[in-house]
Amino acid sequence: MTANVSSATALQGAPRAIRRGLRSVRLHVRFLLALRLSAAGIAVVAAVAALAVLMLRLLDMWYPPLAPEVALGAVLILSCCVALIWPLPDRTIAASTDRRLGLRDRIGSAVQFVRGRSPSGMQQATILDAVHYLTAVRPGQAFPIGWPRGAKAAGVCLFALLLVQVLPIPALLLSAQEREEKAELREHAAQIEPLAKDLEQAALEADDEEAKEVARQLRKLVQQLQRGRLDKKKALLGMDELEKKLEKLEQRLERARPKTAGEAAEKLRQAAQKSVASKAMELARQARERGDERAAKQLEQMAKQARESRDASQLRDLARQLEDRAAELGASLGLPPETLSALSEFLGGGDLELSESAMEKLAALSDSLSQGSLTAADLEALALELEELSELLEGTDLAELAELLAEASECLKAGDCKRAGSCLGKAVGLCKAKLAKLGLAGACRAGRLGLGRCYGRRFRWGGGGPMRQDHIPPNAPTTQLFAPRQSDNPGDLERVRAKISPGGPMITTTEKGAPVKITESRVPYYEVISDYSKTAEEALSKEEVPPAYRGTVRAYFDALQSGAKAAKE
Amino acid sequence: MSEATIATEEQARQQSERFRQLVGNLKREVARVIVGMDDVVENTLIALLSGGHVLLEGVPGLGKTLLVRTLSEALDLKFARIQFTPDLMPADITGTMVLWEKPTGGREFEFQPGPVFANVVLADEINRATPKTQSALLEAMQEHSVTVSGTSRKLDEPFLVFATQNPIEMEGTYPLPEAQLDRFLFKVLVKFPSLAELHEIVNRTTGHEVPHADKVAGKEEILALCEVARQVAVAEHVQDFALRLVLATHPDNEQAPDSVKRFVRYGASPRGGQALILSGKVRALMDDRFNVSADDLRASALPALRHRLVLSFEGQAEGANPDDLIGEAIERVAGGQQDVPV
Repeated sequence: MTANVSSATALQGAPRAIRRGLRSVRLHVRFLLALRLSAAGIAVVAAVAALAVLMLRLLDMWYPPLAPEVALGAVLILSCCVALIWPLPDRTIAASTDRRLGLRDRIGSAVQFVRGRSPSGMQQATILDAVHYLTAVRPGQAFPIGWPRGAKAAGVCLFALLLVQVLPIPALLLSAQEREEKAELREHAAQIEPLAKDLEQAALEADDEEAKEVARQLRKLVQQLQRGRLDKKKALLGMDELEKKLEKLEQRLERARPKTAGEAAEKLRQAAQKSVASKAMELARQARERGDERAAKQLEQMAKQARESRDASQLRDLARQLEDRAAELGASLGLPPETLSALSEFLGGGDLELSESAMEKLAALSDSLSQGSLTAADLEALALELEELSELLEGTDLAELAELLAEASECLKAGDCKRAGSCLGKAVGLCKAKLAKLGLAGACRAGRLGLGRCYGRRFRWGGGGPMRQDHIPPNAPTTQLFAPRQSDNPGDLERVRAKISPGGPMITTTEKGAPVKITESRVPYYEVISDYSKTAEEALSKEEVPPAYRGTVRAYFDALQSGAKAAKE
Repeated sequence: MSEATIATEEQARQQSERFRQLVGNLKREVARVIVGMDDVVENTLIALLSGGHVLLEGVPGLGKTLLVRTLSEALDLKFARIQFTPDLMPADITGTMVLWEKPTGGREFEFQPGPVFANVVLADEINRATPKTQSALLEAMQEHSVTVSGTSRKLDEPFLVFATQNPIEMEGTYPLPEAQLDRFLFKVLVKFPSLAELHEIVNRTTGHEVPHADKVAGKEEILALCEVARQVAVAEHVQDFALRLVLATHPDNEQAPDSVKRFVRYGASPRGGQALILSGKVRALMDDRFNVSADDLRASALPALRHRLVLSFEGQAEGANPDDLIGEAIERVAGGQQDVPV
């Protein structure tokens, strides 16, 4: 009786137990199905993508860089969706489980019997058997997880796609024009590489994260160009992007430059002029006292040159010579005369390396002050000079520097050489930081110009290309492309509208006539026209010129050739 | 609901246990006399418990008659042997009306039952009798009754015909007509024993003691177990498999393999489907299951269908083997079963 009761209870819960067991098996099967569909889909898409990418690369045609990866991702998502909605009725799941586990249709039969209203004794026994097996068996036993069919093919195709995308196309498969392009790109890489190194160094010194990132990208571009991993279009896009970044960075750094730097530089230059002249006269006096008339005359000459000088670099040279003379005479000059001119140059955006050497000297002076190796007279003179310099910089954006110099002057007057040295040290540090920023800006400028040079060279024949011709005014008159027309005003710039494909109009710009005044031209055009004609013919043969314009281009150069012959004669 | 109806799971398990116990005992007793022939013994037992007749085909001396005799010994059933010869008459099988004198005086016709009135009838070399005589068994095999002189007489249950035939000596024989063949549940091929089995046969039969089988079950028990076997559950998809298989043996069916279309004139009859399901039920119980599986049907397909295929002239000329044709039909039908695509 007890057995009957427990059997009846088990039978009542059997439909739910069977459904639960089948649900877990179904979930497992859907997972495996997703794996299998993904493998098959990836194999197909990767194979097609590899072939397509290979063809496009060989034909030098553009394609979205991440298109294969996006397609693969879409296939993965689609596979999961299909696996989720794939019809997997209980009957099919049960039959498959029976077959795989050798259950001799126990579960499949039970799934059917359990739907009956009053199952017979044999059917009840079958149902309870099925429940027993379904609860004892894990889905993984019936459908073990492993590499799905097609996984090998998918792996091979993915690998092929990766190779096709990453590896450079062998030279054998490249045309002469493409090989030439690759060589040219390597040449550009060689030009950009030192600029990239400079930029990297400057970014490190300035400790500018954005600049470091741009420098890293520039180095990467150089590497890619050197290894031939970029085609012409990608290289140009990369260069364009980096150039914009450099420009943006340079603008940011330029904004940090003192606004009144020019005014301060001029004041400093005048102060340097005055300082060098007065010190030269002082040394001349000392030389005369010692009976060295020749040296005195030379120093007076130097003072005269300093007074007449309008250039900070010339003043700096004079200051150096003056320092050498002072060393020969064993005289002290107080504030190094080079300091003022170097600061002037620094603010005027001159040679940064020289400015840095001047800062080094200022730092040495700071050390001397800290060690107390200067005489009282020297200290007094130095205090006055520093005060004067501080006054010069007051009211400019270098107020912080002015304050430090004033503080140093006050300290010297109070006889606190150590603190004065410390203030001077801080001033040197401040100047160096500003120098680093300016150095970075310079490196950015150099890099941008370097890229621009490469960029511009790529588009010698750039009808419709992204050639930057910002120097052409936007309101320049338009004319027909390649139309040989005698310009009334040689050197005038014209904007040309051209339609090079049925896809729509494309604005391009070119110059009509020489960009300089005709009077400054030194090479007669008939001497170079043959080279230009040859280049034009090459362009025609390489199909860089749209077919519709080839006749016009030939006619243009033929007309010039005939004109050249006449001019020669 | 009859008394033999199994209504609960508990009863089903008890009956199944009893069934397997009996089959085990029967196998053990048969194995005491018969050496090897596991397949033959198993198929014979399946036919016995399905209530079907068996056609045993094999060369003389392989133990066909001994097998049937041993089975009847083990089952405590009435056994009759009929040696079929060309001059055997139907009345020699069914029995006849004889005129006899009553003790009270007068004469009357009284039915003298023939050997068919037994539980196990061994029709030895059945193909040596004339078709007329062979057909005497038709009604007995199908209806389990015999009609003599307009009177129908029921045969004692269980009624099982075990016929044998020799496939080699075909001269002077009368191949069984399709209608007759179709009434056999199984056609079992008796193969020649292996060397080890031959050694065992010689050892057993040439010694001092001749082995005998003990009785393990009576008539009533056999009938009860036959009833149990019929109650085994068959799922729709399993039955569908059996019937598709039957249809696949027909050359005009879409699912029929090419070889069947080429070499078969007529496929298996509906009795083939019945034979598959019935034998499948017995196999399920023997395998401690309560449901018939497709594997049971596969195992029964050859003995249940091979004698039901009528080969075309081309099939006979090419020497097509019905077993191969059935194997291809099984593959075709099994290939069409639902499966998850992983």
